[in-house]
Amino acid sequence: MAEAHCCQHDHSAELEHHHAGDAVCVDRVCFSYVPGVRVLDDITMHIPVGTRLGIVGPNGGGKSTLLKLILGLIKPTEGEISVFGRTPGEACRASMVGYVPQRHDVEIRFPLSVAQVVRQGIVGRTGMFRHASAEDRDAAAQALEQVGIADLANSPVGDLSGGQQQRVFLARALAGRPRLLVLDEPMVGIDEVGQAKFAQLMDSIHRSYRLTVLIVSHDLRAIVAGCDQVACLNRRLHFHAAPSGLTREVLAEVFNHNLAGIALRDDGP
Amino acid sequence: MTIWDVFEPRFLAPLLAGIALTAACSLLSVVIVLKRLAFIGQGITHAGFGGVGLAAFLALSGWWRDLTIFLFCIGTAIIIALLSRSRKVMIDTAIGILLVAAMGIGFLLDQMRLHLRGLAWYDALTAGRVTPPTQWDVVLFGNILFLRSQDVWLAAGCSLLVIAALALLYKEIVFFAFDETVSRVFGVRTTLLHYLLLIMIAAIIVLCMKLLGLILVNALLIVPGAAALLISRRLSTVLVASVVLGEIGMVGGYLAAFGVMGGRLPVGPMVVLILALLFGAALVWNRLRPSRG
Repeated sequence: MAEAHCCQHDHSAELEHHHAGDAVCVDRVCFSYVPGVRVLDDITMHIPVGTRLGIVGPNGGGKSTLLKLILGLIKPTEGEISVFGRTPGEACRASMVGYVPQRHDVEIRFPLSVAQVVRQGIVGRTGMFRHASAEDRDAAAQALEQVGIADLANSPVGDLSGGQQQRVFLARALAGRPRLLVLDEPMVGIDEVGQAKFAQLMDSIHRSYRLTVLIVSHDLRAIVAGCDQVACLNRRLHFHAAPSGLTREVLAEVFNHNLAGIALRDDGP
Repeated sequence: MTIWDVFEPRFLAPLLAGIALTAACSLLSVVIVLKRLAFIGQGITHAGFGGVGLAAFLALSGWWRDLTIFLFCIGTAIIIALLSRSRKVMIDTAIGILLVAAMGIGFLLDQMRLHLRGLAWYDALTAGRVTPPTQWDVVLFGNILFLRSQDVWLAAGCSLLVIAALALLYKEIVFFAFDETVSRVFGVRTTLLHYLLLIMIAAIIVLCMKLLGLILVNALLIVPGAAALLISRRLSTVLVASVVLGEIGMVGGYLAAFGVMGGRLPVGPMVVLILALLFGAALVWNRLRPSRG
């Protein structure tokens, strides 16, 4: 624990770890919400530019926490993270990262149209006190076109179905012309037809924008279909390679880990 | 008094201050309702009681009194903001506790000064100033006759500032209210916006205090926005509707206070009552409209 604190604020050291061909470098990262209880333990992984990495793992395995770290919403307790050679926060402020959050139910009352939500994606590029440039507004319109919901541009966002809302958030993430696209549980609450369509859409987006993509899901099928690499996360990183190498044994190790923990707790007095 | 007495300068000035403040409050109320800051607003208004008590304790009057109340409200707002970032305390619990603590401190300080007068250190602290006893009913419900002419200018100036800030940071504030965490990832400076909103709310509360009283300020900070959101789902329409509804409440309440029972009724409760009726009407309109909303 002692060595942990020395690196925390040393940005120059952090960036030294960054390999030129990597979009994201996670270097010996640990994270605890409560001191002594590690949600993430010694995670090291590199996401090369242009790859699509899927992170799977059981609920409570630290997927969301790792995502928050890469988005700069929280800071690691130990270790370092860099995104395109910058700190996660800097990369986000420079509009290098597009984020599609878990589709919680959108507040149906919120008086915003689909186009207005998509244009939120260029707020960071525009900067405070300024109007969006024509170029940025075009990018937002194009993103709306790309995800296939341009005809819904003026509808209130609360009126849309789950799958359509997911596309709105995807378009918002693309509008800022990011280099890294991060999706949190994109398939939750969408039917199978919708899932297949969304996977197709992600495929075409990956091809036309040449993005690095990071998808987090507890649903293995969603990941294997559209990713070049898979990482299994349950407090530790259990596996990190092409999906073809994913064996029953690895999965048992990742997913049973958690079940064992639950069983133990149930056995207690 | 009749309704026509409104055009006397001493009654017209507070009305103008009210109209300016209502415009700022109504716009702010849309953000407050959408971002679910209503309860924080309650916390800050009740902090005003602490400020009133502290100002009384220090025997302050005029600007110094206003400033003390403002600082007390800001302090409370900052504590609320800090607590809301901690994982240890639920935000509504924190506000619930601060709210009663601030009221308790206010009343205690106001009472204590009566017993401390004559003590050397207390007289040194207050430099021998003596202020009249606090009229808590005025603090609660306001009294336009306590509005000084400078207050009108201050109200107009601050209202303009708030409206300008909301206009300049429009896209950031809307994103912030829609989804705070996501907006941060997209480069919005959420911490800055959070504190800025709390400061604006605190400033507006202190300015509205004499007009409506601490309790009734909350009506202007919630009702116009809440009613407007029932009327439309287009943000630009909501903002305009909110200001229109707020002004109907303010001007209508003001005129009603002068017109009913010979002008002996206070303005604040009248304004709040009209706002509540407008909200009811908006609710009915929302239900009766064929399209859902």
